[in-house]
Amino acid sequence: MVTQRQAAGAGQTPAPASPQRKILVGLGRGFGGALIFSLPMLMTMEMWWLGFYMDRFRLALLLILNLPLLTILSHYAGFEETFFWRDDLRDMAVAYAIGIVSSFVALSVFGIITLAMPPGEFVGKIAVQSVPASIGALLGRSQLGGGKARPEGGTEQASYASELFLMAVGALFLGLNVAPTEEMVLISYKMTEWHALALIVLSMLLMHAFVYAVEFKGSDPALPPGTPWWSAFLRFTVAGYAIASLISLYTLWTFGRTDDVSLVQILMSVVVLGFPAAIGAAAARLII
Amino acid sequence: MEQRTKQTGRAHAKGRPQDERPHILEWVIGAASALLVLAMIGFVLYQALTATSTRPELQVVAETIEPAGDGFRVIFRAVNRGGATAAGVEVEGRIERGGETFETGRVTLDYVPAHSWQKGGLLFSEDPRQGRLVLEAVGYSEP
Repeated sequence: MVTQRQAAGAGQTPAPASPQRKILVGLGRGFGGALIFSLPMLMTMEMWWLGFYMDRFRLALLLILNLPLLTILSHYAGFEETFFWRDDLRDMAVAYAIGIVSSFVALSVFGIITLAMPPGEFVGKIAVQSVPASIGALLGRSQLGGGKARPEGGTEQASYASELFLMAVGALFLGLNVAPTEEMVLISYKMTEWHALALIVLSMLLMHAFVYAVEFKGSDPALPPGTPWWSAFLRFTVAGYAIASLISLYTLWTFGRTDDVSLVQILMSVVVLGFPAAIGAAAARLII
Repeated sequence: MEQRTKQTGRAHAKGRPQDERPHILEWVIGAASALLVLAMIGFVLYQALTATSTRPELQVVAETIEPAGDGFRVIFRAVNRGGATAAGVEVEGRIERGGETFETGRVTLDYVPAHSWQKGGLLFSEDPRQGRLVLEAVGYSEP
Protein backbone atom coordinates (compact mmCIF):
# COMPACT_ATOMS: atom_id res chain seq x y z
CA MET A 1 0.00 0.00 0.00
CA VAL A 2 2.83 2.33 0.92
CA THR A 3 4.56 1.71 -2.38
CA GLN A 4 1.29 2.29 -4.21
CA ARG A 5 0.88 5.63 -2.57
CA GLN A 6 4.46 6.53 -3.42
CA ALA A 7 3.90 5.60 -7.04
CA ALA A 8 0.68 7.52 -7.23
CA GLY A 9 2.16 10.54 -5.54
CA ALA A 10 5.33 10.44 -7.62
CA GLY A 11 3.94 13.03 -9.99
CA GLN A 12 3.32 15.57 -7.28
CA THR A 13 6.39 15.19 -5.07
CA PRO A 14 9.53 16.20 -6.95
CA ALA A 15 11.67 13.31 -5.66
CA PRO A 16 14.86 13.23 -7.75
CA ALA A 17 14.58 9.68 -9.19
CA SER A 18 10.81 9.49 -9.57
CA PRO A 19 10.24 10.61 -13.21
CA GLN A 20 12.67 8.06 -14.61
CA ARG A 21 11.19 5.41 -12.35
CA LYS A 22 7.70 6.25 -13.52
CA ILE A 23 8.80 5.98 -17.15
CA LEU A 24 10.52 2.65 -16.54
CA VAL A 25 7.47 1.24 -14.74
CA GLY A 26 5.33 2.41 -17.65
CA LEU A 27 7.61 0.75 -20.20
CA GLY A 28 7.60 -2.44 -18.14
CA ARG A 29 3.81 -2.48 -18.13
CA GLY A 30 3.85 -1.89 -21.87
CA PHE A 31 6.10 -4.92 -22.46
CA GLY A 32 3.96 -7.00 -20.10
CA GLY A 33 0.80 -6.03 -21.96
CA ALA A 34 2.39 -6.67 -25.36
CA LEU A 35 3.37 -10.20 -24.32
CA ILE A 36 0.07 -11.07 -22.59
CA PHE A 37 -1.92 -9.94 -25.61
CA SER A 38 0.29 -11.27 -28.39
CA LEU A 39 1.83 -14.52 -27.11
CA PRO A 40 -0.94 -16.66 -28.66
CA MET A 41 -0.09 -15.09 -32.03
CA LEU A 42 3.68 -15.20 -31.50
CA MET A 43 3.29 -18.97 -31.03
CA THR A 44 1.05 -19.55 -34.07
CA MET A 45 2.89 -20.87 -37.11
CA GLU A 46 0.43 -19.36 -39.59
CA MET A 47 1.46 -15.94 -38.27
CA TRP A 48 5.14 -16.72 -39.00
CA TRP A 49 4.26 -17.83 -42.53
CA LEU A 50 2.09 -14.78 -43.12
CA GLY A 51 5.14 -12.71 -42.23
CA PHE A 52 6.79 -13.73 -45.47
CA TYR A 53 4.02 -14.69 -47.85
CA MET A 54 1.33 -12.10 -47.25
CA ASP A 55 0.96 -9.36 -49.81
CA ARG A 56 3.36 -6.51 -49.00
CA PHE A 57 0.82 -3.80 -49.86
CA ARG A 58 -1.72 -5.28 -47.48
CA LEU A 59 0.95 -5.63 -44.79
CA ALA A 60 2.02 -2.01 -45.32
CA LEU A 61 -1.64 -0.88 -45.16
CA LEU A 62 -2.15 -2.78 -41.88
CA LEU A 63 1.01 -1.22 -40.43
CA ILE A 64 -0.08 2.28 -41.48
CA LEU A 65 -3.69 1.88 -40.27
CA ASN A 66 -2.25 0.87 -36.90
CA LEU A 67 -0.84 4.42 -36.51
CA PRO A 68 -4.17 6.30 -36.19
CA LEU A 69 -5.68 3.35 -34.34
CA LEU A 70 -3.03 3.46 -31.62
CA THR A 71 -3.16 7.26 -31.48
CA ILE A 72 -6.92 7.35 -30.89
CA LEU A 73 -6.72 4.39 -28.51
CA SER A 74 -4.01 6.18 -26.58
CA HIS A 75 -6.37 9.10 -26.22
CA TYR A 76 -8.99 6.86 -24.56
CA ALA A 77 -6.93 4.24 -22.79
CA GLY A 78 -3.37 5.38 -22.98
CA PHE A 79 -0.19 5.10 -21.00
CA GLU A 80 -1.22 8.09 -19.00
CA GLU A 81 -4.05 10.55 -19.01
CA THR A 82 -3.28 12.66 -22.00
CA PHE A 83 -4.16 16.26 -22.66
CA PHE A 84 -2.56 16.96 -26.00
CA TRP A 85 -2.51 15.06 -29.28
CA ARG A 86 1.28 15.51 -29.19
CA ASP A 87 1.36 13.22 -26.16
CA ASP A 88 -0.90 10.70 -27.87
CA LEU A 89 1.42 10.62 -30.88
CA ARG A 90 4.41 10.00 -28.63
CA ASP A 91 2.62 7.26 -26.73
CA MET A 92 1.57 5.70 -30.02
CA ALA A 93 5.19 5.59 -31.20
CA VAL A 94 6.36 4.12 -27.90
CA ALA A 95 3.62 1.44 -27.88
CA TYR A 96 4.39 0.54 -31.50
CA ALA A 97 8.10 0.30 -30.72
CA ILE A 98 7.38 -1.87 -27.67
CA GLY A 99 5.32 -4.12 -29.96
CA ILE A 100 8.20 -4.37 -32.43
CA VAL A 101 10.87 -4.99 -29.80
CA SER A 102 8.85 -7.60 -27.87
CA SER A 103 7.96 -9.44 -31.10
CA PHE A 104 11.63 -9.34 -32.12
CA VAL A 105 12.80 -10.72 -28.76
CA ALA A 106 10.15 -13.46 -28.57
CA LEU A 107 10.61 -14.62 -32.18
CA SER A 108 14.41 -14.59 -31.79
CA VAL A 109 14.25 -16.69 -28.63
CA PHE A 110 11.88 -19.16 -30.33
CA GLY A 111 14.38 -19.45 -33.21
CA ILE A 112 11.74 -18.27 -35.70
CA ILE A 113 13.90 -15.42 -36.91
CA THR A 114 17.64 -15.67 -37.42
CA LEU A 115 20.19 -13.25 -38.78
CA ALA A 116 20.86 -15.64 -41.69
CA MET A 117 17.36 -14.87 -42.99
CA PRO A 118 16.78 -12.47 -45.85
CA PRO A 119 15.69 -9.05 -44.51
CA GLY A 120 12.26 -9.28 -46.13
CA GLU A 121 11.35 -12.40 -44.20
CA PHE A 122 12.96 -11.11 -41.00
CA VAL A 123 11.16 -7.76 -41.01
CA GLY A 124 7.89 -9.24 -42.29
CA LYS A 125 7.65 -11.74 -39.45
CA ILE A 126 8.20 -9.01 -36.86
CA ALA A 127 5.93 -6.50 -38.64
CA VAL A 128 2.84 -8.72 -38.74
CA GLN A 129 3.21 -9.47 -35.01
CA SER A 130 3.94 -5.88 -34.04
CA VAL A 131 0.33 -4.77 -34.71
CA PRO A 132 -1.44 -6.90 -32.07
CA ALA A 133 1.57 -6.55 -29.76
CA SER A 134 1.41 -2.75 -29.93
CA ILE A 135 -2.33 -2.75 -29.15
CA GLY A 136 -1.46 -5.02 -26.23
CA ALA A 137 1.29 -2.64 -25.11
CA LEU A 138 -1.13 0.27 -25.09
CA LEU A 139 -3.96 -1.61 -23.38
CA GLY A 140 -1.63 -3.46 -21.03
CA ARG A 141 -0.32 -0.23 -19.77
CA SER A 142 -3.77 1.07 -18.89
CA GLN A 143 -5.05 -2.31 -17.69
CA LEU A 144 -2.05 -3.25 -15.56
CA GLY A 145 -1.90 0.30 -14.31
CA GLY A 146 -5.43 0.09 -12.94
CA GLY A 147 -6.70 2.96 -15.04
CA LYS A 148 -9.79 2.74 -17.23
CA ALA A 149 -10.63 4.38 -20.48
CA ARG A 150 -13.29 6.98 -20.10
CA PRO A 151 -15.72 7.46 -22.88
CA GLU A 152 -15.22 10.90 -24.31
CA GLY A 153 -17.00 13.48 -22.22
CA GLY A 154 -18.75 16.30 -23.98
CA THR A 155 -21.32 15.73 -26.67
CA GLU A 156 -23.40 12.57 -26.98
CA GLN A 157 -22.23 12.04 -30.56
CA ALA A 158 -18.57 12.05 -29.49
CA SER A 159 -19.30 9.54 -26.76
CA TYR A 160 -21.15 7.26 -29.19
CA ALA A 161 -18.31 7.51 -31.74
CA SER A 162 -15.79 6.56 -29.07
CA GLU A 163 -17.93 3.55 -28.11
CA LEU A 164 -18.00 2.38 -31.73
CA PHE A 165 -14.25 2.93 -31.98
CA LEU A 166 -13.58 0.81 -28.89
CA MET A 167 -15.81 -1.91 -30.37
CA ALA A 168 -13.79 -1.84 -33.60
CA VAL A 169 -10.54 -2.19 -31.64
CA GLY A 170 -11.94 -5.13 -29.67
CA ALA A 171 -13.15 -6.80 -32.86
CA LEU A 172 -9.82 -6.25 -34.60
CA PHE A 173 -7.93 -7.57 -31.63
CA LEU A 174 -9.79 -10.87 -31.26
CA GLY A 175 -10.09 -11.12 -35.04
CA LEU A 176 -6.31 -10.84 -35.49
CA ASN A 177 -5.92 -13.60 -32.91
CA VAL A 178 -7.83 -16.21 -34.88
CA ALA A 179 -7.99 -14.97 -38.49
CA PRO A 180 -4.58 -16.34 -39.55
CA THR A 181 -5.37 -19.92 -38.53
CA GLU A 182 -6.44 -22.54 -41.07
CA GLU A 183 -9.33 -23.40 -38.77
CA MET A 184 -11.25 -20.24 -39.75
CA VAL A 185 -11.59 -21.49 -43.30
CA LEU A 186 -11.99 -25.12 -42.22
CA ILE A 187 -14.93 -24.27 -39.94
CA SER A 188 -16.63 -22.38 -42.76
CA TYR A 189 -16.27 -25.48 -44.98
CA LYS A 190 -17.91 -27.65 -42.32
CA MET A 191 -20.86 -25.31 -41.82
CA THR A 192 -24.04 -25.25 -43.85
CA GLU A 193 -25.98 -22.02 -44.48
CA TRP A 194 -28.25 -22.94 -41.56
CA HIS A 195 -25.27 -23.20 -39.25
CA ALA A 196 -24.18 -19.76 -40.44
CA LEU A 197 -27.60 -18.26 -39.68
CA ALA A 198 -27.55 -19.83 -36.21
CA LEU A 199 -24.07 -18.42 -35.61
CA ILE A 200 -25.19 -14.91 -36.60
CA VAL A 201 -28.11 -15.12 -34.14
CA LEU A 202 -25.84 -16.48 -31.40
CA SER A 203 -23.24 -13.74 -32.00
CA MET A 204 -25.85 -10.99 -31.73
CA LEU A 205 -27.53 -12.52 -28.68
CA LEU A 206 -24.20 -12.68 -26.86
CA MET A 207 -23.35 -9.13 -27.93
CA HIS A 208 -26.66 -7.90 -26.59
CA ALA A 209 -25.99 -9.66 -23.28
CA PHE A 210 -22.75 -7.68 -23.05
CA VAL A 211 -24.66 -4.47 -23.81
CA TYR A 212 -26.99 -5.28 -20.91
CA ALA A 213 -23.97 -5.88 -18.69
CA VAL A 214 -22.77 -2.36 -19.52
CA GLU A 215 -26.23 -1.01 -18.84
CA PHE A 216 -26.33 -2.88 -15.53
CA LYS A 217 -23.06 -1.30 -14.50
CA GLY A 218 -24.72 2.03 -15.15
CA SER A 219 -21.33 3.55 -15.93
CA ASP A 220 -22.17 4.41 -19.49
CA PRO A 221 -23.58 7.89 -20.22
CA ALA A 222 -24.79 6.65 -23.63
CA LEU A 223 -27.00 4.07 -21.92
CA PRO A 224 -28.87 5.76 -19.06
CA PRO A 225 -31.14 3.47 -17.02
CA GLY A 226 -34.54 3.14 -18.65
CA THR A 227 -33.27 3.07 -22.22
CA PRO A 228 -35.75 0.98 -24.25
CA TRP A 229 -34.30 -2.38 -25.30
CA TRP A 230 -34.72 -1.73 -29.03
CA SER A 231 -32.74 1.49 -28.77
CA ALA A 232 -29.77 -0.27 -27.18
CA PHE A 233 -30.20 -3.21 -29.57
CA LEU A 234 -30.12 -1.04 -32.66
CA ARG A 235 -27.48 1.46 -31.56
CA PHE A 236 -25.04 -0.96 -29.97
CA THR A 237 -25.77 -4.59 -30.80
CA VAL A 238 -26.62 -4.25 -34.49
CA ALA A 239 -24.08 -1.48 -35.08
CA GLY A 240 -21.45 -3.47 -33.17
CA TYR A 241 -22.14 -6.63 -35.15
CA ALA A 242 -21.87 -4.69 -38.41
CA ILE A 243 -18.52 -3.29 -37.28
CA ALA A 244 -17.35 -6.76 -36.22
CA SER A 245 -18.32 -8.19 -39.63
CA LEU A 246 -16.54 -5.42 -41.53
CA ILE A 247 -13.42 -5.85 -39.39
CA SER A 248 -13.60 -9.61 -40.05
CA LEU A 249 -13.76 -8.99 -43.78
CA TYR A 250 -10.81 -6.61 -43.58
CA THR A 251 -8.69 -9.07 -41.56
CA LEU A 252 -9.51 -11.96 -43.90
CA TRP A 253 -8.61 -9.81 -46.92
CA THR A 254 -5.38 -8.66 -45.24
CA PHE A 255 -4.30 -12.25 -44.68
CA GLY A 256 -5.24 -13.24 -48.24
CA ARG A 257 -8.09 -15.49 -47.12
CA THR A 258 -10.52 -13.92 -49.60
CA ASP A 259 -8.37 -14.44 -52.70
CA ASP A 260 -9.76 -16.82 -55.32
CA VAL A 261 -12.69 -17.70 -53.06
CA SER A 262 -16.36 -17.56 -54.02
CA LEU A 263 -18.52 -14.82 -52.53
CA VAL A 264 -20.55 -17.36 -50.53
CA GLN A 265 -17.39 -18.82 -48.99
CA ILE A 266 -16.13 -15.33 -48.12
CA LEU A 267 -19.44 -14.57 -46.40
CA MET A 268 -19.27 -17.84 -44.47
CA SER A 269 -15.73 -17.03 -43.28
CA VAL A 270 -16.88 -13.54 -42.30
CA VAL A 271 -19.65 -15.08 -40.19
CA VAL A 272 -17.23 -17.53 -38.56
CA LEU A 273 -14.66 -14.83 -37.79
CA GLY A 274 -17.49 -12.45 -36.90
CA PHE A 275 -18.24 -14.58 -33.84
CA PRO A 276 -14.96 -13.93 -31.98
CA ALA A 277 -14.88 -10.40 -33.42
CA ALA A 278 -18.35 -9.70 -32.01
CA ILE A 279 -17.35 -11.01 -28.59
CA GLY A 280 -14.20 -8.87 -28.77
CA ALA A 281 -16.22 -5.81 -29.75
CA ALA A 282 -18.76 -6.27 -26.98
CA ALA A 283 -16.17 -7.11 -24.34
CA ALA A 284 -14.02 -4.12 -25.26
CA ARG A 285 -16.72 -1.75 -24.03
CA LEU A 286 -16.64 -3.48 -20.66
CA ILE A 287 -12.93 -4.10 -20.29
CA ILE A 288 -11.01 -1.26 -21.89
CA MET B 1 -7.27 2.96 -6.01
CA GLU B 2 -10.27 3.72 -8.18
CA GLN B 3 -11.04 6.73 -6.03
CA ARG B 4 -7.54 8.08 -6.37
CA THR B 5 -7.53 7.73 -10.16
CA LYS B 6 -10.72 9.71 -10.35
CA GLN B 7 -9.36 12.43 -8.12
CA THR B 8 -6.16 12.88 -10.08
CA GLY B 9 -8.23 12.83 -13.25
CA ARG B 10 -10.28 15.76 -11.99
CA ALA B 11 -7.20 17.66 -10.89
CA HIS B 12 -5.64 17.17 -14.30
CA ALA B 13 -8.68 18.37 -16.16
CA LYS B 14 -7.95 21.95 -15.15
CA GLY B 15 -4.62 21.91 -16.97
CA ARG B 16 -1.23 20.39 -16.59
CA PRO B 17 0.73 21.58 -13.55
CA GLN B 18 4.32 22.58 -14.18
CA ASP B 19 5.86 19.48 -12.54
CA GLU B 20 3.55 17.21 -14.54
CA ARG B 21 5.23 18.14 -17.82
CA PRO B 22 6.59 15.05 -19.56
CA HIS B 23 10.18 14.28 -18.71
CA ILE B 24 12.75 14.82 -21.45
CA LEU B 25 13.44 11.07 -21.34
CA GLU B 26 9.88 10.42 -22.52
CA TRP B 27 10.52 12.47 -25.63
CA VAL B 28 13.86 10.76 -26.26
CA ILE B 29 12.19 7.34 -26.04
CA GLY B 30 9.34 8.64 -28.15
CA ALA B 31 11.68 9.88 -30.89
CA ALA B 32 13.66 6.63 -30.94
CA SER B 33 10.40 4.68 -31.11
CA ALA B 34 9.13 6.79 -33.99
CA LEU B 35 12.36 6.10 -35.90
CA LEU B 36 12.00 2.34 -35.38
CA VAL B 37 8.35 2.35 -36.45
CA LEU B 38 8.98 4.49 -39.53
CA ALA B 39 11.97 2.33 -40.52
CA MET B 40 9.83 -0.81 -40.38
CA ILE B 41 6.91 0.68 -42.32
CA GLY B 42 9.31 2.24 -44.82
CA PHE B 43 11.02 -1.08 -45.45
CA VAL B 44 7.74 -2.94 -46.01
CA LEU B 45 6.51 -0.16 -48.33
CA TYR B 46 9.79 -0.26 -50.24
CA GLN B 47 9.34 -4.01 -50.69
CA ALA B 48 5.76 -3.51 -51.85
CA LEU B 49 6.80 -0.92 -54.42
CA THR B 50 9.83 -2.77 -55.77
CA ALA B 51 8.22 -6.22 -56.07
CA THR B 52 8.63 -7.21 -59.71
CA SER B 53 8.30 -10.90 -60.42
CA THR B 54 5.12 -12.49 -59.12
CA ARG B 55 6.09 -16.13 -59.66
CA PRO B 56 8.46 -18.30 -57.67
CA GLU B 57 11.68 -19.17 -59.46
CA LEU B 58 13.14 -22.23 -57.83
CA GLN B 59 16.59 -23.70 -58.03
CA VAL B 60 18.06 -26.49 -55.92
CA VAL B 61 21.78 -26.73 -55.26
CA ALA B 62 23.67 -29.38 -53.29
CA GLU B 63 25.73 -28.01 -50.43
CA THR B 64 27.38 -31.00 -48.78
CA ILE B 65 27.44 -34.73 -49.34
CA GLU B 66 28.40 -36.81 -46.33
CA PRO B 67 28.06 -40.38 -45.04
CA ALA B 68 25.07 -40.80 -42.72
CA GLY B 69 24.40 -44.13 -41.02
CA ASP B 70 24.37 -46.86 -43.65
CA GLY B 71 23.98 -44.42 -46.52
CA PHE B 72 24.67 -40.87 -47.55
CA ARG B 73 23.16 -37.50 -46.83
CA VAL B 74 22.89 -34.64 -49.32
CA ILE B 75 22.25 -31.26 -47.74
CA PHE B 76 20.71 -28.96 -50.31
CA ARG B 77 19.53 -25.41 -50.51
CA ALA B 78 16.32 -24.59 -52.40
CA VAL B 79 16.63 -21.00 -53.59
CA ASN B 80 13.62 -18.93 -54.67
CA ARG B 81 14.74 -15.92 -56.73
CA GLY B 82 11.19 -15.00 -57.71
CA GLY B 83 8.92 -12.46 -56.05
CA ALA B 84 6.29 -14.93 -54.82
CA THR B 85 6.43 -17.57 -52.13
CA ALA B 86 6.15 -21.22 -53.10
CA ALA B 87 4.43 -23.68 -50.76
CA GLY B 88 4.73 -27.47 -50.66
CA VAL B 89 7.85 -27.46 -52.81
CA GLU B 90 8.65 -30.98 -54.04
CA VAL B 91 12.39 -31.49 -54.33
CA GLU B 92 13.62 -34.52 -56.20
CA GLY B 93 17.17 -35.85 -56.22
CA ARG B 94 18.46 -38.52 -58.61
CA ILE B 95 21.76 -40.34 -58.86
CA GLU B 96 22.47 -41.00 -62.52
CA ARG B 97 25.25 -43.14 -63.91
CA GLY B 98 25.71 -43.55 -67.64
CA GLY B 99 22.30 -42.11 -68.45
CA GLU B 100 20.55 -44.49 -66.06
CA THR B 101 18.84 -43.46 -62.82
CA PHE B 102 20.15 -45.51 -59.90
CA GLU B 103 18.29 -43.99 -57.04
CA THR B 104 15.64 -41.34 -56.48
CA GLY B 105 14.89 -39.37 -53.34
CA ARG B 106 12.06 -36.90 -52.68
CA VAL B 107 11.26 -34.43 -49.98
CA THR B 108 8.61 -31.71 -49.59
CA LEU B 109 9.50 -28.30 -48.18
CA ASP B 110 6.59 -26.48 -46.47
CA TYR B 111 7.56 -23.07 -47.80
CA VAL B 112 10.28 -21.37 -49.77
CA PRO B 113 9.63 -17.62 -49.30
CA ALA B 114 10.23 -15.09 -52.07
CA HIS B 115 13.87 -13.97 -52.45
CA SER B 116 14.84 -16.58 -49.85
CA TRP B 117 16.02 -20.10 -49.43
CA GLN B 118 15.28 -23.18 -47.38
CA LYS B 119 17.66 -25.99 -46.52
CA GLY B 120 16.82 -29.66 -46.51
CA GLY B 121 18.41 -33.09 -46.71
CA LEU B 122 17.98 -36.13 -48.97
CA LEU B 123 19.07 -39.59 -47.87
CA PHE B 124 20.51 -42.09 -50.33
CA SER B 125 21.87 -45.61 -49.88
CA GLU B 126 24.26 -45.18 -52.82
CA ASP B 127 27.11 -42.69 -52.78
CA PRO B 128 25.95 -39.69 -54.85
CA ARG B 129 29.58 -38.89 -55.64
CA GLN B 130 29.87 -42.14 -57.62
CA GLY B 131 27.80 -40.67 -60.44
CA ARG B 132 25.88 -37.55 -61.38
CA LEU B 133 23.61 -36.03 -58.73
CA VAL B 134 20.62 -34.19 -60.22
CA LEU B 135 18.59 -31.98 -57.86
CA GLU B 136 15.46 -30.19 -58.99
CA ALA B 137 12.19 -28.73 -57.78
CA VAL B 138 9.41 -30.60 -59.54
CA GLY B 139 6.39 -28.67 -58.27
CA TYR B 140 4.84 -26.32 -55.74
CA SER B 141 1.52 -24.84 -54.73
CA GLU B 142 0.53 -21.23 -54.06
CA PRO B 143 0.39 -20.51 -50.36
